[in-house]
Amino acid sequence: MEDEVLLGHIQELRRGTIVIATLALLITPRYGYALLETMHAQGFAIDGNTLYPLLRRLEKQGLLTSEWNTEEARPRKFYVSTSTGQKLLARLQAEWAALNTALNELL
Amino acid sequence: MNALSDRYVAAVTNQLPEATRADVARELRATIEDTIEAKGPTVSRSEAERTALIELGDPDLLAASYRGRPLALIGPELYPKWVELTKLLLVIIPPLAGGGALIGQLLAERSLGQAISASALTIFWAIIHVVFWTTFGFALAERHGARAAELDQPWTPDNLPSIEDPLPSVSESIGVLIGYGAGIALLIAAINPTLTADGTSTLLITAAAWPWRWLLVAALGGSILLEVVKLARQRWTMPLAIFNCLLEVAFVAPIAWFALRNQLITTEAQAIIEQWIGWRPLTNGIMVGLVILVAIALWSCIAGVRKARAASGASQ
Repeated sequence: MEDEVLLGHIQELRRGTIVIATLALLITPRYGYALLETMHAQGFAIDGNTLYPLLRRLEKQGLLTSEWNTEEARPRKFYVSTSTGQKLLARLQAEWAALNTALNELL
Repeated sequence: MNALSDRYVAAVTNQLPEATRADVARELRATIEDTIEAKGPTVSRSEAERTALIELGDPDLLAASYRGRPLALIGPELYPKWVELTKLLLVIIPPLAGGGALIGQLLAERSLGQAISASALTIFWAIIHVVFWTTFGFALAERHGARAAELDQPWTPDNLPSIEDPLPSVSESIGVLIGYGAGIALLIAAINPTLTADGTSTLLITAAAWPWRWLLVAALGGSILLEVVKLARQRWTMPLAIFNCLLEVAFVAPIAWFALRNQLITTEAQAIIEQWIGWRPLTNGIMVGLVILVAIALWSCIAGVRKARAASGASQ
């Protein structure tokens, strides 16, 4: 029971960081599964069924663009962040830093 | 590509809008293939495919996530209001409908047992109707509510309605809902009343007009839905006002049709009533009633449109 509460709070805490990580990693064009793998390797616990729809939402918001790459054996959709996405990332980064400072002073 | 992945992709994309379907399907296929490949050569392909699909999870949830639709019939914003209204109506309408049915049955000279069982049945249906229509109304408001427009502009005290307000008041709506509920209960439960005089009995409403009461029931049901949507949205809108006018037409038109042809109340019953109240011909009385009914309907229709105008004026 306590573990469940803890897990819930941890999940809540991580939720907002996924967008930051996604925008930061997609400065380099990546396709969905590669991005997922990179995030896992970097220690972000996220499921594909959360990430793939998120990519489409961010694209709809103009923060990412996508392009099909058909040169390899398997056609893949590559996402890369736009300049709007980069500006938003900078804002989010500043926000994250401010939160971090505020929390550190408090703890 | 093997049947299991194909079925998975179809299960997800079938629920998506036509415009994005092919693209999502193509990307999802590539992603599944990537995931399978990453399992390495030690795992059999079918095993790897199963694991990949299990990782992606329930296709319904994935599709919902792609659509970005709420996974709830009534969201957290409207939920408290829905609970409050449902409870309130459950306390009021079923007992009232049950009581109305009981009285109606006893007036129709049914036995007490019959009256009680009919009343119990009415209460049961009243509960089902109350829960269904409030839920339906709130679900509609959740999906097509005015909130999207309201989110564009943050709430300020200026948004407060003036006192002579275009906002529908809760107490007014509750009163109206009770009236509708009782009306439906009476129309469903009541038997065409029989009048008896000088040893001859006759039905009050003509056989031609009596089945049309179902249209009235439908119109009253629509009116309940209208009230609930109005309560959930806390304001009149132009589509609601137009719906209201249509409901009034649905309610008045059948009555007017039969009344104008003098086919509403049987001639035998008219004769009996004329004897009782000494007012003849009764058709004049029927016409007066009809005029009042039309006047009320017109007033309701115009009032709705005016309030909708006022509400849209206030939000601009």
